[in-house]
Amino acid sequence: MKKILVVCLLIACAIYSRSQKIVFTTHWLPQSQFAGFYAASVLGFYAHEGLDVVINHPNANESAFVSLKDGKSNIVMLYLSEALFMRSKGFRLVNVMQLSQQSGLTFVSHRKLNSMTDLNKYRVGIWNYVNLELLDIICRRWKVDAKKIIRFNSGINPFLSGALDVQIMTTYNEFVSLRECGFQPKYIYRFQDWGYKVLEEGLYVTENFYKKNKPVVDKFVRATRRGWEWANTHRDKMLDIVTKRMKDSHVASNRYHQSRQLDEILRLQVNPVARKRTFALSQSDFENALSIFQMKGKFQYHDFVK
Amino acid sequence: MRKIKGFFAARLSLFTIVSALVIFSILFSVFYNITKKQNIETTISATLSLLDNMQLQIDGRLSSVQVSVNNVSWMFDETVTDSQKINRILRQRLVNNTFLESSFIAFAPHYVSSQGKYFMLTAIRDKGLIKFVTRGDELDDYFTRDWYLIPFLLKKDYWSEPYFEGNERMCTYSHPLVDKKGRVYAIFGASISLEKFASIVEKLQPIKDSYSFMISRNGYYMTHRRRDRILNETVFSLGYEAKDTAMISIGKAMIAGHRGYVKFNNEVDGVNVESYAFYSPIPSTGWSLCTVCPEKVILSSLNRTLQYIMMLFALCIIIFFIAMVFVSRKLLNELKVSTSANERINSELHIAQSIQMGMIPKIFPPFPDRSDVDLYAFLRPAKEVGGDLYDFFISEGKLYFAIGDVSGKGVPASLFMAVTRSLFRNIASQGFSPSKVMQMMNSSISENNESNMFVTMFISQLDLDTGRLVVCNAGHNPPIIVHKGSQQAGYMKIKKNLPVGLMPDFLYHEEEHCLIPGDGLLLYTDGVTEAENEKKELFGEKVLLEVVRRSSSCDAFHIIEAILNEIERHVGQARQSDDITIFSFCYVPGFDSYKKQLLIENRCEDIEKLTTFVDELAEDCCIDMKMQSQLNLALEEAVVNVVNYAYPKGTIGEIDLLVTSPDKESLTFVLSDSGVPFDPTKVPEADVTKSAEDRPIGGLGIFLVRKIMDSVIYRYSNGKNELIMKKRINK
Repeated sequence: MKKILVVCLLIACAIYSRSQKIVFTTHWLPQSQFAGFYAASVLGFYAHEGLDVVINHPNANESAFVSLKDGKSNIVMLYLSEALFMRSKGFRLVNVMQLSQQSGLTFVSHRKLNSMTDLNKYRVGIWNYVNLELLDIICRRWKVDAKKIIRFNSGINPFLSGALDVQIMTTYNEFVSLRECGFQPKYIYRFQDWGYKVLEEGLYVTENFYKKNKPVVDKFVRATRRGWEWANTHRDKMLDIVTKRMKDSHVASNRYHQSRQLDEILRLQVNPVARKRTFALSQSDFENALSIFQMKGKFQYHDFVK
Repeated sequence: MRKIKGFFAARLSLFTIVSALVIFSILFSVFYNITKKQNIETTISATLSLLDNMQLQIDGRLSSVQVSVNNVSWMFDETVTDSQKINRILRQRLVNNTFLESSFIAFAPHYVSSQGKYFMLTAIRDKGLIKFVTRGDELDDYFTRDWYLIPFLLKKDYWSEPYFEGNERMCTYSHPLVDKKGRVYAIFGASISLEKFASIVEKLQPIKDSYSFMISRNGYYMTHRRRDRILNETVFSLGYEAKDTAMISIGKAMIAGHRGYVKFNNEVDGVNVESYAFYSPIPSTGWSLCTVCPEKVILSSLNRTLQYIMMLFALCIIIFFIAMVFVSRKLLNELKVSTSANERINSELHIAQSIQMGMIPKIFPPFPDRSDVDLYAFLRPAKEVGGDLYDFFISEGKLYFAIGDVSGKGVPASLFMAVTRSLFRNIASQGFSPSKVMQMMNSSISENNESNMFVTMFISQLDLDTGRLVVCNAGHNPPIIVHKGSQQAGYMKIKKNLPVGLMPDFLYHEEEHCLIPGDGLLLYTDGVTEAENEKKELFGEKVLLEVVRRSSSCDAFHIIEAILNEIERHVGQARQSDDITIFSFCYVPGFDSYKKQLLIENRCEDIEKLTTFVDELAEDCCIDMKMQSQLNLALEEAVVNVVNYAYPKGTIGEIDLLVTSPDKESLTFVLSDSGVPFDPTKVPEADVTKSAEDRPIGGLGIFLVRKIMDSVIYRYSNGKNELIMKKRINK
């Protein structure tokens, strides 16, 4: 491992003078969810493409989109829902890479839910950073009273303490935390089982940036893809890199959590139709999302996906 | 020999020590298990008490926080929104309770309209001073934070999950303030540092090598000897990663608020260590304390004691072994001396046996030049030497034979037997009758009999020419008399006198019998009839008689052989308990060399057959005319006597006349009938000096018989009258 790091450092130093700086912002704190980016960075895949990539993590109150909008980042990671919503608001951003091919969003509940409308009966928690307008659109779609939705910061304590009856969770993070706290959830409802198949984890750049720096974006995407492929085949080593990154960033976690998260993230990246990692947003997933958000015809696939 | 002795002593010692070791191991194992159980129970009780004590300390601190907040919550009347006034209250909290790091109040959105959506005031302890901070904006949206949201929704007090603030572990207590309509309008609370708790828990070490930790309501390590686990790992994350089901079970019991203990395999640096986990909850926060103690540490004091005992025991065993070898050698020396003495005694006994056996005649046939005596004897002592005896000799045409059984066994009996045998030989050889011999022996033995021993004896004197047998029995078993080649045999009815040696002046009686050729006598000691088998059943006189009767011929050796075989079969594996002596004698003076028989009935006309019979006999044996007419006269008288008187009138009976001659020098006539018992020899002899008119009727016939024959003897045997007459011919 040390040898690899030294080699990478040397390569990075050798090509530093002529490399192009890229600021990439994830949409959460350091964890296995972003393993491929760390691999590409640490193993010199970005450097090999002539890129000097800075990986930024927003805190719980910050937004990756704001970072893109403010020009603080060149490339950001966003959920497709958020990206489409922002595009519909007129912000010209384009999808350059789609990591997740299946949705990892779930509702975990203390009580049994027969349909989405049952959510109106209980205290339901959604992350605070979810855009209110987007939440309204989603709630309207499933006839849920958005005003009753409780916004919480993060974690699973509101749910475990019983303050929330139902809480939104990802299969790769909060769901793992539940098990870590010795809790065995009884009722789990996947969003995609209820028709909400809107993929998460895409990479977005402004349309303007893309037009001017297409080769750079392509290099970034290529190196990132290489990073994820390495992560898939070197999971133990990948976990070493992730845990070190988290420790350096003073983020609390443990290897068990990150191991389960990495496994789940890699599983979600496999396209169920193609049965492989495509790293691209398919037209059907794009159209499906537009249909859910009632945005059909507002913009075209080829304008949005590059 | 020395090597063998050493080896034997070592082996004996080793066996004893191994036995001692086994017993010690069993006892010690029981003791150890009982003590181990008690030790563990004591540790469990002591550790749980310590944890309870710790829990009380922590709970006390936490209660002080709750009291600090709850006691003044009434001051935040819903109308109180004055920042300065609030800050005074918050400040006072920190002044009154130095345990608090900060105190705060966070109002619900837009509760204080002048402050906008967010209004939160905080008093923070900072390097000994108290600072006031106002918080809340779009980026610091405190309404979504656990410490606000959870008590707000639940409308009850809430201890947050521990969290890091810098390097310090912190925890926040929140108390919702509720207005008159039951709506929460603010959260009032305080934060504390957990570092002091942590140090108390981390120092908790009830036993050497044990360690303690505390987990949060959700299972996160709040304290642990491995700092990297604190607020990073949960008991479950470690349990699932290590696939340690025991740890998961312990975690579940702890977060469920249980108090107790469990034994489990604790993995320490890749090594499984049998350990105990003791846990006790802190009810106010849902946290739980746990102490882990390796079992070997709990048992270390016991194990140390065990080591001392084992060492002491090993020492004792070595000393014991040396002592055992020493004692064994000494005992073996004594045994060796004893064995030598025993061997010497055995050797001497063998010699004594040879001497004793040499006293009695053992060469058979004893009189090879005589054809009229068939004799065989057998003696087998129960021990090396015995008290049985037999003896015989011929003196002046008379065969003396005796059998005896001395009271007791072994050496004393054998010495007594030697004396008895010598006396018999010395006295009998002087030609005394059996009763006289017995009497003299009795006098001699009784005089110096200080040991009060006695001997049963049977002494016989047989005139080999005439078959006259004189016997004297001194308390001995009655002999079996065998007639005519054992076809008929029975116990001799004879008076028992006192055994020899009991009464010096006792007068012994003798009896007289007559043996005809082919008759025999079987003498024996009680060792024969009282031979016991394993069921303690006696051989018995009845069986003895049957064996004799079964013997097909009058052969002394074969009779004894048949008896011994039968005894052996009866006794089986049982040990011989008494001396066995058997003496068998057959009187065979020319038996079977000449034999002629006449069978007639008690009819007068049959008497004529007698004349023909005598004629043929005379011719066969070359008897002269004179002798022939004499024999004819005597036999006719005897036969007529039987024809006339033996059977009741009108009944037909058989009369048997058997004549034998072994050497053609003498004839023996046996006239037998099954009629009324009658001894003609008892009839008074006729006075031939008187005239025929003066003489009483009868008696003349027997007179003639006696006159003509050399000897006339009567006996009644097996339901038959037998008149035995002998006549020498060719003189």
